[in-house]
Formats: sequence, structure tokens, C-alpha cells
Amino acid sequence: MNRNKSMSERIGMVIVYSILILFCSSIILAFMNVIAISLSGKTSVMRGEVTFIPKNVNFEAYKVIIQKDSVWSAYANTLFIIIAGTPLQIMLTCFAAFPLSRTDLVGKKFITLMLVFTMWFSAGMIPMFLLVRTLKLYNTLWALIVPGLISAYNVMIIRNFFQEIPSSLEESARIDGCNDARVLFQIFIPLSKPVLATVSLWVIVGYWNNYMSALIYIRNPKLYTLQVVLRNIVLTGSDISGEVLSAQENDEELLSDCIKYAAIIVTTIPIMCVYPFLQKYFVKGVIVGAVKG
Amino acid sequence: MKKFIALSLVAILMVCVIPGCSVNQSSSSDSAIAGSTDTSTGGTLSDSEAALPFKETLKITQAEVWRPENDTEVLTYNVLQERLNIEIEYIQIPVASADEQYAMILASGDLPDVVNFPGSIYPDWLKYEAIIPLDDLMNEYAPDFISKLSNEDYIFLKSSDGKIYTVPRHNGDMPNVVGLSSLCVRQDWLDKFSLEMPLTLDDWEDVLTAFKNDDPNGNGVNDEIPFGGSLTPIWDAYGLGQLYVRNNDNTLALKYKDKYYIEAVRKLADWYDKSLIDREYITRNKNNTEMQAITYNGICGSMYMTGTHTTDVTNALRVAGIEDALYVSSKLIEGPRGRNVRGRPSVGLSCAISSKANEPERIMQYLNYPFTEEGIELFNYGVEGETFDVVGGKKILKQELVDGGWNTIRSYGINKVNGTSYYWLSDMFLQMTFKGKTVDTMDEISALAYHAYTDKVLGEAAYKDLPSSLNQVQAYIDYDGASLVTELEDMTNQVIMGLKTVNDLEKLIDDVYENGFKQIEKEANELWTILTK
Amino acid sequence: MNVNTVRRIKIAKTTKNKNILSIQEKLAYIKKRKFLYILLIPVFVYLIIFHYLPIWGLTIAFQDYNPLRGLFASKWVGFKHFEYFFRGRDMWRLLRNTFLINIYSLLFAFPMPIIFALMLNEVRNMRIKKAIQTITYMPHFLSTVVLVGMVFAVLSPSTGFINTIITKLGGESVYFVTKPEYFRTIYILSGIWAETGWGSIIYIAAITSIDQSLYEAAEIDGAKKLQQIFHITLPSIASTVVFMLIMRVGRLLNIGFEKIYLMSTAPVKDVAYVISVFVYEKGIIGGSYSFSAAVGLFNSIISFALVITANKISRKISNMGMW
Repeated sequence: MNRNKSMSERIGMVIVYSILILFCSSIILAFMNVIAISLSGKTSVMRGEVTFIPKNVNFEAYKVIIQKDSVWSAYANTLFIIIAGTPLQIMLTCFAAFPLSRTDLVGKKFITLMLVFTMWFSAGMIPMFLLVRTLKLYNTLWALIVPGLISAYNVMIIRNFFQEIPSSLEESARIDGCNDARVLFQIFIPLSKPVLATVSLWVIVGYWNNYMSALIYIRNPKLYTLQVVLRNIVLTGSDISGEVLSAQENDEELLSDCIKYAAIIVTTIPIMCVYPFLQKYFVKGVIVGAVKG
Repeated sequence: MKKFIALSLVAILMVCVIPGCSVNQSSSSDSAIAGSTDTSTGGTLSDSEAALPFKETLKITQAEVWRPENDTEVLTYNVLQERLNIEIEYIQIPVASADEQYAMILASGDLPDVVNFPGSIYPDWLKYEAIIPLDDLMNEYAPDFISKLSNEDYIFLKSSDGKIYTVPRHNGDMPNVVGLSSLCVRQDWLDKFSLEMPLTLDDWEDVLTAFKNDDPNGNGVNDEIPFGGSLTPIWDAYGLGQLYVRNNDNTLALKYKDKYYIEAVRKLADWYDKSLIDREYITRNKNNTEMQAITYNGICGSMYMTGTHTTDVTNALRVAGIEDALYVSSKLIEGPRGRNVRGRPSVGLSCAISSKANEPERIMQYLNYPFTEEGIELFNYGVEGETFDVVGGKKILKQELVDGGWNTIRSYGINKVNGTSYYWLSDMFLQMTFKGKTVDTMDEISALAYHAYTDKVLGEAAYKDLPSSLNQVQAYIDYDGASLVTELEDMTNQVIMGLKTVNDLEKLIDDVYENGFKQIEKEANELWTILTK
Repeated sequence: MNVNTVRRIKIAKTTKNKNILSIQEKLAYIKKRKFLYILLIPVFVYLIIFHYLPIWGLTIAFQDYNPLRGLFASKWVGFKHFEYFFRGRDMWRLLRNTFLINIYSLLFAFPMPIIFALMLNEVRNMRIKKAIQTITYMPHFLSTVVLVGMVFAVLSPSTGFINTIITKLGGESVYFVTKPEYFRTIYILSGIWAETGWGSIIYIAAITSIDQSLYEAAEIDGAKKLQQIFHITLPSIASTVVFMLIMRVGRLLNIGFEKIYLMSTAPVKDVAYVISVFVYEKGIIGGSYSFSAAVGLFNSIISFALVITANKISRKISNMGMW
């Protein structure tokens, strides 16, 4: 199967691998630093002794975070938003993308424009805020799901993928008697697993990282999402504007980098666990055996 | 089949969008503002209505800054509501995003009754008259509060229109410098070179030069930072610690135009050049962790930090092996304007009453409560038997609370950083800081902090911050004073670092003054006259 | 020829093969493919309620919005805020800085995720490939504050990694973050480090969808690796690349506020002062709802115009575009 690789190709591969290794190493080192600091004793961190290996290992920083009830309810809230919002978003995005991928669609230009226009012209924070309140979504978790349900950007991405699917597949399906619905659900969606996985990942991460909307639309502390609570923990004590409070009166525990970095780990690790689940959709050769058009 | 799915999804979406769909109970804050009828039309309450506890329950909403260690189900708040017969619904605003949240509250027009600002009053709230002036209400309904105010306090309470809008967190009888920063120095390094504690600028220059050149930490590497962190103490020595300099005739003069400003800049540039001050001071981050780090690893000779820093650093260095490490507070730098250190203002800002409140009179009574005998006890010590005991006629906080630290005691609602107005007692502060020990019973290293706090010299040298209302005069807004200040500060820093010349700085100062600050200074002086009347 | 005929011909020429349909034909189409339109109903509902209804709120930009009076009762001031924006100090410097940073970013940062995806595609071992993917997209999750802290730490003249190497090689340590000439480089390089992995996901997905048999055929025909990339891989992901490129062009005048703000030390302000920082500073002083709305509207209009232009150019060159 493989013909002999030429010299230039070997060199090319060496270069590629070197770059990848260097890049990954720098990232690994950076995160080792983060983890090490989060696990180290406060004084060692202060003295700058911690680089990649924790010193005076203790879980104090994590304890501070985990012991707050607010963190757990925040976790639950965020999970709810993800579980409720992601399928809804993907579904609706596909609903928008499929018709737009039909080249002969009547009204296509109009609909596309209507969609694309929203990518650049949004009403702004205050009108949205007033709208959410009028719709009685204010101070509920749905306020963090519904307003962003369809992102024109995602629609375009998926539409592009739908357009790339060889028309021969569709033609042979129609000859077999498929209507639009079956074409969408039985052919297009299964074939679009990579892009759907990508968009799902974006959507999930978007919900996970969402901070501004949660701040604006949620007042009930029991409904705060993860980012809000974590940022609060991290920034407590270093924010006082106007009031002259000495560091003494804010337990200096909370000022330490340990807590800040522990919060990063707590935020990042769960999301990284999502990716392996989606990776199986990034599989090559999905259209193997398709009829060449 | 697929059509069915599609249609039902549409239905679900419509149901979700249409009002009524909420997974969790939304709080009833939207509808419930004041529950009781407004019986006072002219602004005066009858005697029976004014008596505490209120006969008819007062229901109000209070927007309050929320920190993770806070809750509103706290002891003091519950007791307060019981004693006065009030029902308070707290709206918690996360501190990290208070600015945006308050902007949203204002933007929605749905204002709570009581508003607790995290810092100075947001100019928007004043501009759009979202909060009401309290002067008349105070006189009628807040006698205890007024009795605690000194003349100086009024300067800080009044806004740029000369009226008072908030009932503050009052720092009570806290001595001027307790809890604040002082200039600390490594006594053991001084001893090593047989140097006296420096006093004047020249003394300091000699000491810092020795720190730099003679390798006090003995590791053979020239890594010492003789003067780390903030340059404030040096500016203070010239009397330039604030935007305006207070002249003897009680007028204000812009610091950049002061006769000592350029001299100070030259001195600092000189010291930077000789590496006597931290060459990376501009990026050493502002929230203290990096600054502390350089003292903790023993390369910093002196720094402007809080009093307890002396204890902490000494301990940490001794633990790390430097046995005779000793970090003490100095006597400040004496410059052309003598010795100066920033003192603690006596009032912070706390609660304002919004213009949408229905019962400002009774609310004022509620805000007055923390200044009564009962109220002071409640918010400083808590409840007898639960959080403190009376021992020999003095109120002593329970040991578990004191050992738990500030966060623990705040979880009971005592000395909350933000929230209801409050009058602070220094006794409580000392109990907490020194964990119940007195100066006789604490060890030598802890006593370092004690001395840092109570040192008489510091007390005499303390000056009060200028009120923030000076930065809210119309000219400041029109000419965008904040960015002018930023420009000047940036240029100053660049001159100190040797990247620009003093000429550049002088030119910029003149330019900025002609094109804005002259007017700002004039209006600030006008306001100052009003405030200090 | 009457006017209508002329028009029909014109339209026929521009739409190439498309037939102009009469109203009846259009309705017939809709009826026949009603499933498609049913799918679009919830989309319409959503767009109208959440995007087009609140657009009325854009009028804030033309008012002196008073929150206690609301949207409909605040004073109308026309273009006052826009004028204030343009008369701001050093408006040209702001625009220049914003624009330059974005152009450099476009040239250097935009291709990175694509190149990275191509490189990753050459890795045969699935396990290693997955591992690399997971590792490289982690930095995206670092908050801006932490990222800037890391950058400053690495570049610190006394304790930073880079300067340690420089001094070991005999040079003098450089206080990088205070030198204006390094600012853009630092800003863009740190962005590349943090975002390449994450940004490549979409391209990896696109590459995954390419028909394997194309490669096999090419091998049989004797094509070398590089040729395969240029003739198979790149054309197949071209529509995605073009899309992302046009989107990027639309953002030519936007720069996220947080990172720049954190990275601007005093000496670099000359090149680091961008529009978002300017708006933020103004916002502190108050009365800013209408002002921010006006700036936002200005931004939107410019971005939209850029996108339309980019799209037109792209269509002319490559017959591909956003719509």
C-alpha cells in the first residue's frame, strides 16, 4: 500500500512532529504549573518556589472551593442549562440549516439575509434585558437558554457542511422514494456527525463559560451558574473600590494564587472530559463507499 | 413520524417562550415592593408609628453586595428584623460584577428600596435621581446616627451637590491608622550593617544603597530589591499622595503643578536608575500577591504594607531558615513636607434610599438602628450568649469566632464588609486581629503588628483621603478627568523608568492643565468650600 | 422591448441558470416542500422575538437614555453621541491601533489553526492524535487574567523563562512588556498559543469529512504528500476557510477589551490604546448607556459593511462566499 516515502517527505514529517511536540510540551508545562500551584502550600507559592512540582502538598485550596454549597448548586444549574439547551440548539440550528442548503429554495436570499443580519446587529444589553423581563424569563435559568437558541454563525457552518454532501447521495435517495424529512434525518444528519459534534462542543463550552448573561439575568443566588460563583471566590478581597480595608481584614487565605488556580482546574477539567465523548464522531471515512458523482 | 417530531418541537419551543415556564421559583421581587400603605403623606410619622419596633411590619427590598462567604440568613440580620418588626428581602449582587449589575438595576427602572453601593455612589444614580437626599430625613429620624458624626465626616458624606445620600459604614472609634499600611523594613539587615532606622529621604537613600550593594541576604547574588512595591511612601514624603494638595488656606492645588512634583519625579528616576526601587514595579501586580512574594522570599528590604505584614513575613522567613529575620514598621519617610501616611477615612459609604421607596421615613429609622446602643452591640459583638460573653464588664467575643478569623465572624453578620450601615468599634477589631490576646500576652513577633498599628508617630502623621465627590464635579466629567490623570501617571512612570525626559513630562502637564485641569481644579475648589463650610 | 423584458433579461443573466419563478410557481414550490418551511417556522418565531423585536432598542443610541423614564420617554438627541465618539481624543490613533493589530492578527494568527489541522491530519496514530487534540485545546479555557499573568511571568526580566535563556546565552535581559515594539507580537503570539488548538477543531471536522478514496486515487496516480494537500485537502475545506475568513474580516475593528486592557503597561499605551478601552474608560464616568449603544451601532455597521465587501470579493475570486 505505501510507496516509499521520499526524503523530503520524511523531513517534512520530522518537522511536523517536532512542532507538535514543542507546542504540546509548552501547554503541558503551563498546566503543570497551574496544578502544582493549586496543590501547594500558600507560603511556598508566595516564595516562588513552585514551578512544576507541588510543594507542601495540601488540598486547602480545593477544600475552600468544594466546601461552598454555592459551588454545588452552581454546578447543578450549569448542568441543567447544558442538558436542556444543547439538544434544543442543535435541533433548531439544523432546522434552519437544512432548508437553506437547498439551492432552489424559494425565499432563500431573504431568509439568509434575515439570519445573517443578526450576526452583526444585536439590540444590546438593555433592550434584551427589558425583553427578558417582559417575557417573565427573568431570574429563571431559561433566560440563559432561550435568548441564544439560534446562532446564525452555527447555522452557516452546518449549512456549509450540508451543501458539501454530494448531491448524488441525495438523488439516489429520492429515486428510492425519500421525501425531505427522511433526507434530513436519515441521510444528512448521520453524515454530518463531525460538524454536529463540533457545534455541540461549541455550544456546551459556550454554556459552561457563560458569565455575562448569568450576571445580568439572574438575581437569585441559588440560580447562579458556575462561572459566576467561581469568579466571585477568586476575586473576593481584591475588589474593594473606595473602601479602605486592609488586607488584614480579608483573610489573606483568599488572596492566594492557590485558590485562583484551583478554580481554573475545577472549571477546566469537566469540560475536558466532554471532548473524548465527542471525539468518536470525528472519525474518518464516514462516506466510504458512497457513489461518486 | 419526523413531521410529528418537528411539530412537537415547535410546540415545545412556543411553550417555553411564552410566559409561565420557569423551572425554579422566581423570587417575588418584581411585584412586592412596600407592602404597607403609606400613612405618612407630609413626611412626618405619628408617635405610635415611629416607635420601634414598628407596629406595622415594614417590608422592604435591599440590594446588597454579595460575597461567597456571606449569606443573608445571618444571625444579626435575623435579629434585626425581629427586633424592629421589619421584613427585608435581600437582593444579592455578586461583588465581582457589581458595576454591571447595578447598571442593570438602574436600567430596568425597577429600584429596590435600599441600595448598598460597593464603593462610591455610581454617578448615574445621582444623575438620574434614582436615590434621594437624606438631609431632612436624617434630622428627623436618625438622631443616633447624627450624634456620631463629626464635622470632618460631613465632608466625606456629602456628594458633589452638597447633599448627603447615604448612611455610611462608620469606622467608629478606630484610631486613624489602625489596620492600615505602614512602611516596613528589615531590621536584621539594618543591624547587619549597623545602620540606624532611617528617617529622612537622605537617610533612606543611604540605607537603600547599602541594601543594594552590600548583599544583605548573603547569597552572593545582587538580587535584592531595597524598596519594593508601591512608591506611595515616597510620594507621601513630598505631600503628593493624593490628586490635590491641601494648602494652608484650605484651597486645593493639583499635585502635578506642585512645586515639589518635578523634584519628586527626579528623585524617583534617580533611585530607579540605581535600582533602589523595584525595577518591575509597573507590572508587579496590584493585588498584593506578587508584591508579598518578594518579601516572602527574602529579597525585599522594605515595603509599604499592612501592619500584620510585619508578623507574617517575620514568621515566614524564620520558618524558611533565616533565623534572625525581623520585619518592623518604620517611622515613615520625612521629606520636604514632613511625614505623611494615608489614614483611614472615618466613613465609608453604605446605604442609600432609592427614589422608588414608599416609606423613606421608616427606612431611615431602620438605617439609624445600627447607631443606637443596641445596634452597635448587635453588629460588633452579636448576641450575648451566642457570640459573645460579658466578662468583667467587658464584652468578649467567643474564642471559636475569634480563632475562625474574619470570614467566620462575618458569616454571623458581624462586621460584614458590605451591607447595612454600621458603626465599628476598635475594641472588636483588636480582639479579632490579635485573637483575643493583649499586648502583654502575645509573643514578640505578634507584638510587631500591634506596635505597627498603635504607633503614635503614625497616628500623628496620618492624613485623610480627599472625598470622592471632588472627582464628580461637572468639569471632571466633561473633560474626562480620569483619562487625563491616567495620561499624566503614565508619563510620570515612563520618566521614572528613564524612557522619557522630564521635559516631556512638564510639557504634558502644562498641556493638560490648560486644556482641562484648570477648570476641574477651579470647580473642585468651589465644591471644597461648600463641603468644608 | 419594454421595461419588464429588460429587467427579466438582466435578472436572468445575473442568476445564470436560475429561472425566475412566477408567484404561482413559488407557491407551488412552497406547498410541495412544506416540510422545509415547517422547519423554518420556529426559526422565524425565534428571530422575530429575540432579534428583531428588541432592535427598537437601538434607538437608545439616538437618545439620552434615562432609565427611570424608559425607552420611549427619554430625550431624543440624534447624532450627538456619534459626534462625541468621533471627537474623542486621538480617534485616529485608536482606529489605527485597532486596525493594525487586527491586520497582523489576520495575517499571522488566522492561518495557524488551518496549518495545525493539516499537520495533525498527517499523524497516523489515532491515540496520539486524540491526545494532541485534547492537550492543545486546553489553553482556550484559561481566563484572560490568568493568561496575561502567565505571559508576564514568562517575560519577566528577572525571573522569566525567556530572559533566563537570553542571559545564559550572554545577552542582557529585556523588559519586554514595556516596549511598544514588542507589544503586538506578544499580543498575537499569546493569542496563537492559546487559541490555535481550539480554533482548529472546525477544520479537523471538515478534513474528516473528506472522502478517503480521493486520497487513494491520488496515491495511485503518484501524487506526493504536498500535492495531495494542495489538490485535495485544501479545496475540500475551502468553503469553511472562506467562511471563517469573511467572519474574521468582519471583526477588523473589534478587539476584545479585557486582554488589551490587562496587557497595556504605561509605555505601550501608544500602540495598545484601542476602541474598546476607550469606551470602557468613558463608561466609568457615567451617563454611558446611550454612548455605548452608539459605539456599538457604529461598530455593527462597519463590520457589516466589511463583511459584505469581503463576501463580494470572495465571490468574484472564488465563486464561494457566505451567501
